[in-house]
Amino acid sequence: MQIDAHDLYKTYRDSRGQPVQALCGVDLHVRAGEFVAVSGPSGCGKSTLLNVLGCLDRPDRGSCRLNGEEVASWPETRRAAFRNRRLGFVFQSFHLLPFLSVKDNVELPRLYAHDGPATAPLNVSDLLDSVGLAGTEERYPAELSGGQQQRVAIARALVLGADLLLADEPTGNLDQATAHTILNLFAELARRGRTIILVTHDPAVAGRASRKLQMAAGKIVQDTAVDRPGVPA
Amino acid sequence: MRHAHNIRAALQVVRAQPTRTALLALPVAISTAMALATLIVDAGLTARAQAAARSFGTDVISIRPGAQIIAGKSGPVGTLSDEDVAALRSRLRDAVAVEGTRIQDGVPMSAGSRNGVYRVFGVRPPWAGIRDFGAERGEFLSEADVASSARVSVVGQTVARELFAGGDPIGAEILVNQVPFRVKGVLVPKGASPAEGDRDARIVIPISTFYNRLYRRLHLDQIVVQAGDSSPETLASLEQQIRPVLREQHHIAGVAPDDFVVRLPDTIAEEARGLSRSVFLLSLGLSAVGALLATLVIGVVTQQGITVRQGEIGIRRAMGALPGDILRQVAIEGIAVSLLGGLVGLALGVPAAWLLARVQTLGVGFSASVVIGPLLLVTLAAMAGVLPARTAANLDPAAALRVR
Repeated sequence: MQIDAHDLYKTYRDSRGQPVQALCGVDLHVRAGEFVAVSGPSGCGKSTLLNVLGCLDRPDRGSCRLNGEEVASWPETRRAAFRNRRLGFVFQSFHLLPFLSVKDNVELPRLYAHDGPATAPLNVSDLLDSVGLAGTEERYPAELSGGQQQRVAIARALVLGADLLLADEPTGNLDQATAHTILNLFAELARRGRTIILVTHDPAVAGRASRKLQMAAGKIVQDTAVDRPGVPA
Repeated sequence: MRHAHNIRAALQVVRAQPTRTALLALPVAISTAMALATLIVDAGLTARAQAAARSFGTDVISIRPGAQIIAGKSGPVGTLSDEDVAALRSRLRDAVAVEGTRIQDGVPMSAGSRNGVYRVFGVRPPWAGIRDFGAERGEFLSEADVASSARVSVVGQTVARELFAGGDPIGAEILVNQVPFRVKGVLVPKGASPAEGDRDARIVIPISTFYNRLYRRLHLDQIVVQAGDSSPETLASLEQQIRPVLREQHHIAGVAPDDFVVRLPDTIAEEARGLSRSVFLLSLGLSAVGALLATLVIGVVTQQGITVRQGEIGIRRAMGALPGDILRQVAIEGIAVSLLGGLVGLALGVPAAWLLARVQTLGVGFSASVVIGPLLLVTLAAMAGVLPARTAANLDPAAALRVR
């Protein structure tokens, strides 16, 4: 999925009611199949950018086009359907539902897919196989390691055929070795054409992407292509 | 079904937390069971009371001697007389018939070697029509029997069974308090009544014979007045006519209390309930308080649960759930828990009512309120999830997902 964001502004109020300028004129263009890491200090606006791109939050100003469509002005119903079909979310704390089996967790987005499949629905077993979790369908999140849980979350993000993955500190709760395998999985998904935006404060994690964005005070201050063999720039 | 996926999501949550579900459903179950048992027993008592009124005659007013005492019981004071009956006959506009009776309880009777203790009614023939208490077999008393103070009787089913052991009593002789009486007929079966006990354990003899051969007293023990119809207006108007006539007959003036008691079918029904209305209302009130408590518990626990469930709600929104989906899901969770409680309450309340009726010799019955009461209760509890559901639906998904 191609992203064209222009002059994005977003101000929100913190818990004390003070206005916080999270985005101050962000311009961002991402081609389909790019694996982009966004880093920066706490409060620099990287999570807000992720939420705006993910149609979870609306910018105060500016334009946010996904595959050429101005999603910022869409009504909530259309944005929800778009999230359901086209976007996949991965979080630091996985956000799996503990009372559902792995299979039911992965299939959760289907509950909210009202208009019939946009793309052919993926087989859950194949999907789990592709993230390295073959045979875990009937297990529960608590029986899995952190890395395995994150793989379940990734499978869930992909189940309806999302072509933009938005990951907020996806390796934040994982040890280094496990983080490495998860990042390999993201790189592999990007190679197969999915666009990936990954927010992290860890330079080592950012180094695994094909492109690094550095944010500070609501602006993108640095945009670097990472030269890595086999990963399209 | 358009919102089937919300039902599915809600049931997944309810099923996944059995302890929480059970704790939330429990108060609903208890109050439903209590309301159900109360209403079933009350319906039984009401049916019994109506049956009592019906069996006495829904168009029959009873007048007993004595001052009104608590709960309608009256002492045996000889204040009613044949003159009262005559006065009532001539002055009551709405009465179809007025009859005086003499009644004696605990009268020893025997036939051959068998004996028992029964109730004797001294009446005139029209009494059978008023009380719908004629002869099933043989004949009822005649005017000639009254005129000649004949020693004849019509015996109740219990008397016939116990003194004649299944043999035919008609034409046989029984000794009533040592006085021989010929049996003319057998009364229709009436069964037991809360107002009068076993109504088949009685014999009926001419009122003149009662006075001349058995108990030499002038006063009457009961006057029955038959109204033209059983409408409450007619009965009330008749009662209003009876009181001044009898007060005048008995020379009762000013604010002095009546020396007689007038009982309408309603009064008889109320006495026959056995369990006072206030016990019923107290029990119903307790279940109402229980229902409010159950509603409050579901509401508060669900509301607090929303804070804990922000991650779940956020991820559902991220995956395409609309605020309406979240609203319906959480509301349906409350409905499911309440319904579960209601079903458990149903399973507990019906046997409880049955058991209570057995142990306390009350009745069980069915009425619209048996259905409507518990249904209202469960509906109230089911509404408890609506406010928390709105809170959940209004959560900002981005903020909800930030919670770690």
